[in-house]
Amino acid sequence: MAASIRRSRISRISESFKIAISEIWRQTPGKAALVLFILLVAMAVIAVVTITPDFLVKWESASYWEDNPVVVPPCWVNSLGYKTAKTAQIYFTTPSSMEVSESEVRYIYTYNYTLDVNEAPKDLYVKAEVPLLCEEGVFKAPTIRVTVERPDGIVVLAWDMVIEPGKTGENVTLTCGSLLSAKTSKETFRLAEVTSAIMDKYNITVPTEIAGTNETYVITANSIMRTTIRTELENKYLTILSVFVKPISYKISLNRNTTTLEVFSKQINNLKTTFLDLGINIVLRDKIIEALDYAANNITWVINNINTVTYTDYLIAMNNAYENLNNVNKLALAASAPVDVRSSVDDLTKTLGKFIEVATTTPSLIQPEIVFDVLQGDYRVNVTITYYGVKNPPRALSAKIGIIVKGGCYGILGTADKGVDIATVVLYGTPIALAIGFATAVASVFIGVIAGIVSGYYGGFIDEAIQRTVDVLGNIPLLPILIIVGSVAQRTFTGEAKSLYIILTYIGILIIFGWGGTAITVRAMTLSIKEEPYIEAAKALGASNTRIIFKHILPQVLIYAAAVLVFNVPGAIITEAGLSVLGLRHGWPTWGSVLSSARAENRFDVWWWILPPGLMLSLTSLTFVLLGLAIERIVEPRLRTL
Amino acid sequence: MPGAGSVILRRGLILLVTFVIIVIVVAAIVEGTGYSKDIYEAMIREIVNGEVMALRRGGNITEAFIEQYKKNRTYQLMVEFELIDENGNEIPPYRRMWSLVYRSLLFNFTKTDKVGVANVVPTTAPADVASIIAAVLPRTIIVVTVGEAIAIVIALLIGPRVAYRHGSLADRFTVAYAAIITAVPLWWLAMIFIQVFSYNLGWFPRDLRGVATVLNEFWNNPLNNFVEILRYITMPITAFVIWSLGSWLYGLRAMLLRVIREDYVMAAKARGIPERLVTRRYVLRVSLAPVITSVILALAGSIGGMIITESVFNWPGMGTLYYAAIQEGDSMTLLALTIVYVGVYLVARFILEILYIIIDPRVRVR
Repeated sequence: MAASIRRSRISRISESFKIAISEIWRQTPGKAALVLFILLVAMAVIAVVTITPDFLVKWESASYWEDNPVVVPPCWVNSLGYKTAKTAQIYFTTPSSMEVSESEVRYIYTYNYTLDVNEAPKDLYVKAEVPLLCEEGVFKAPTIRVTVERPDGIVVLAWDMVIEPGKTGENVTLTCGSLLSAKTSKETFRLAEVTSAIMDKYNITVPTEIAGTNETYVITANSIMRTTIRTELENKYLTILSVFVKPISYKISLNRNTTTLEVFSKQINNLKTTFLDLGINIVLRDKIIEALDYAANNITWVINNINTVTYTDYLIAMNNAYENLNNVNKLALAASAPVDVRSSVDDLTKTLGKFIEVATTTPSLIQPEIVFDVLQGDYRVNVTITYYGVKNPPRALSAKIGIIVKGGCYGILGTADKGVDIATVVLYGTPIALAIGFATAVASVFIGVIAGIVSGYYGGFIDEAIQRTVDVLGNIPLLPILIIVGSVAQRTFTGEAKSLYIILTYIGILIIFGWGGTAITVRAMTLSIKEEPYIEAAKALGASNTRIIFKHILPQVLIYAAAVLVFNVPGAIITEAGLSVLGLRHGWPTWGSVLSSARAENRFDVWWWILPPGLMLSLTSLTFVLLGLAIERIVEPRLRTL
Repeated sequence: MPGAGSVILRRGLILLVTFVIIVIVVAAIVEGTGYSKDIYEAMIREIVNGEVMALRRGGNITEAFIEQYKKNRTYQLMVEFELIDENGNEIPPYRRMWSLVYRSLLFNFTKTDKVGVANVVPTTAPADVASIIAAVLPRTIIVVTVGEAIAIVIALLIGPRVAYRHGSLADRFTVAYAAIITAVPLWWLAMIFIQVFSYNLGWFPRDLRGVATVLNEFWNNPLNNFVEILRYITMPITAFVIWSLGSWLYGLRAMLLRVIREDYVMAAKARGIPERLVTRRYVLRVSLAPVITSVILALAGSIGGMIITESVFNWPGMGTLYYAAIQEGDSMTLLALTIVYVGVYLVARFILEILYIIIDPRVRVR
C-alpha cells in the first residue's frame, strides 16, 4: 500500500517534470538554454570520467606540461592563414625495427615529421626510458643515438650518448631490467658535426680569390667560417633547431680596411727615425734599419694591393713583417739600445703578433655572412638504442621512447604559459564551475524558502528577526567581504585540501548573503496563500502546521524556487572567477584561474588564452539566464495570482 | 516635511548600525583566525628593525645592547598593540578585537612597507594606508559615477522608444542584447577591450597605470592633461557603459511597459497631449523612482564588477590597490580596503535613498 502511494507520487513528480521540460522546449530561448545545458552537462560528465586524480594538484606545475610548446595558438588557425609548425609528441613502446649483429643489437624507433610551413619548430628532443640488460651477471647499459634524415638528403647525427645508470651518485640499487632514463638536451647536441654536414652539403667554402692558395691558410679561413656559422646556429636557432634549416645565401668577404695597417706602417717608420738618431754600433744599426724596411715594405705592399690581395698573401706579408720585427728586437738587444726604444720595438712586435692571431682565429679579416631559412619537407627521426655484446637480446624491449617536436601550434585551444593545455583546463573547469554554481544556488534557495515560509506562516517575533537579518544582509556589499575572508582563508588553510576549503569558504559566504531575496518573496507568497479559504478549511479539518506547509504552501513555492535557483547558478561561478582574476587564487583548474594567469603574465594580447575560458563563463551564465527566463514564463501566471 | 526627515534618519541609522556590525564581524574574523596577529607581528618587526638600524648608524653600540633593545622594544610594542597585557599574558582574540573595531571605525590604519602597494598612488614606501586609499578612491568613484551617468542617459533616451514599439525588431534586439551582455563578466569584456583596442588597433594604452602621474600633475597643464586622461579613461568607461546598459535598458523597458498601459496615460493621450510630453511628464516621471530603486539594488554589483575590471585595466583605483595588496600579502591594506569599501558603499546607498525619498512623494507620506 505505502509502496504504491510512493510510486504514484514519484510518477506524478516525473509527470510534472516532463510537462515543465516540454513547456520550456516550446520557447525559443528555452530551447537554446536546454541545448546549451545538455552540452555543459556532457562536458562535465566527460571531465569527471576522464580526470586523473593528480591533475588537480599538478596542473599548475611546468613539468606536467613539459612536452607542450608555450603560449602557442590552436592548430586549426593554420586554415585561417596563420603559419605554424605542428607539434608532435610521439611515445613508442615497441621498436619500429630491430637489427642484430654479432657484437651488438640495435632497436630503432622511427618517426616521420612533415614541416610544411616556413617556420621552424620551437624545440626537438628525445626522452628514453630503457631497461638495463644483463647477461651472465654483467650489466649492459645501452647507447642512444638520434639521427635526422632531412628532406635535402643530409643525415644529421644529432645526439650520440651513453645512458648511464645513477648519474649523480645517488644510491641506486641496480637490478636486471631496472629502467634508466635519459633526455637529449642542447648541451649534448652535436652542433659541430651538424654544421659540417650542412657546409659540405651546400658546398660552403671560402673561394680561392678570397682565401688564396696556401693550404694552411685555406683551412684556417674555412674554420673561421665554420665557427661563425656555428655561432649563428647556436644563437639564432637555439642549437637544436639547426636540424631544420638550410643556408639560402652566403657571402664571404675580406676586411679591406687599412687603418690598422697604416698605423703599423707609421709606427715602423717612427722606429726607423729613432734608430737612425741613436748612437749605437753602426753595423747592427744598418741591419736594424734593413729589417725595419723589410717589415714596412711588406705592410705597404698589402696596403697598396688591398683591393686584390688574398687572405693567404695578406697573412704571409704580415707574418714577414712580424719576423722582421722580431729580428729587430734581437738586434736591438745585441746593440744594447736604450730600454725605452727596445720596449717600444717589443710592444709593436707583440701588437702585430696579436693582430695575426686575431686574423687567424676570429672573423676579423675573413668575414662570412650567411642567411639561413627553414627547410620544408619530410623529416625522418630515428632513435637507435644499441646494446653491445648481448648474445640473447629480448625481442620485445620494454623501453619507452618519446620523440617530441614542439611546434608553433597545439591541440584544439592552444596553450598558455608553462605549456598549459587550455582545452584540458577548460574541460576540467566545467564540473567545478557547475558544482560551485549549483551548490551555492541550491543551498541559498533552500535556506531562503525555509526562512520565507517560516517567516510568513508563523509571523511574530520569528518573522521580525528574519526580516531584520535580511535587511542587514541586503545592505552589505559582498565583494569586500569575500576578498577579506578569501585572503584569511588562503592564509589559514594549509595542506592538500587547501583549494577545496578555500572554494568552500567562498560558497559559504555566497550562501550566507544569497538567501535574503528568496526569503522576502517566499514570505510574501506564503502570506497570501495563508489567507486562502482552503487553508482555513484544512485547519478546520484539524490539519497540523507541518501538513499545511508541506501539502499546500511548499508545492506552490517550489516552482518559483526552481526559477530563482536557476537564476542564482551563474552568479557564484562568475564571482569565483572574478576573485581569481583579482589575484585570490585557490589552485584548482577553473576558468577563472586560466584568466587569472593571463592577468598575472600580462598577456591580454593572446586571444586563445582569454577567449575560451571567458566564453565558457559567458555561455554558462547565458544558459542559466535563458533557462530561468523560460521557467519564469511558466511561473508567471501563478505569480500574477498573488 | 517631517515624514521625510524621520525616514532619512531611520535609514541612516540602519546603515550606520550595519556598518558597525560589519566592522565587528570583520574584526572578529581576522582576530579569530590569527590573521591580524600576523599583521601586528610584521609591523612590530618592521618598527624595531627600523629603530635598530637608526641606532647602528649612530655608532658605538654593542651587539648585546642591541639584542636587549630589540627584546625590550618588541615587548613594549606588543603591549602597545594589545597583543599582551602589562603582565605579559596573551590577550585573547575576543577582547583584542575591540581595539581593532575602534580603530577601524575611526579609519585609523597604520603604515604599509610594501612597495607594490605604494606604487599604485604612486608614493614611496612606507606609506600611510589611509592616505593611499584616500588617493586612489576618487579614481574609482569617477569611473563608476561617470559610467553610471552615461548609461542612465542613454537608457532614458533609448528606453521609451523601444518600449513604445513593443515587439518590434528594435525591442527584441534590446532584450537579446540585455540577456547576452548581462551574462558576460564585465572584467572579461575589459580583457577583450584591451586585446582589440590596445593591442590590435593601438588606440589606447595597454596599461592604464600611467594615468596616476597625469592625475597627480593635472594642474601643471590642465588642457593637455585632460586630453591625456580621456585617452586613459575611455576604455574603462566604455566597457562599463556597454555592460551596465544591458540591465538598464531591460529594467527601464519593463517598467515603462507597465506604466504605458496605465489608464491615466491613455487618458492623457486621448486628450491630445503630444506624445513627447506624455512620455516625459506622465511616463518617465513615474518610472524614475523604481529606476532609482534598481540603481540602489545594482550598486553593489556595479561597484564590485568595476573593482575587478579596474585591476584588469590596471587603472590605479581601488581594484588595482586590491590586486597589489593581494599580490604582496599586505593584510593591513586589505583590512583597510574592506572597511573603506563598505563605508563608501553605505554612504553611496544613503545618498541614493535620500534622492529616492525626494523624488517619490509616496515614501514621505508613509
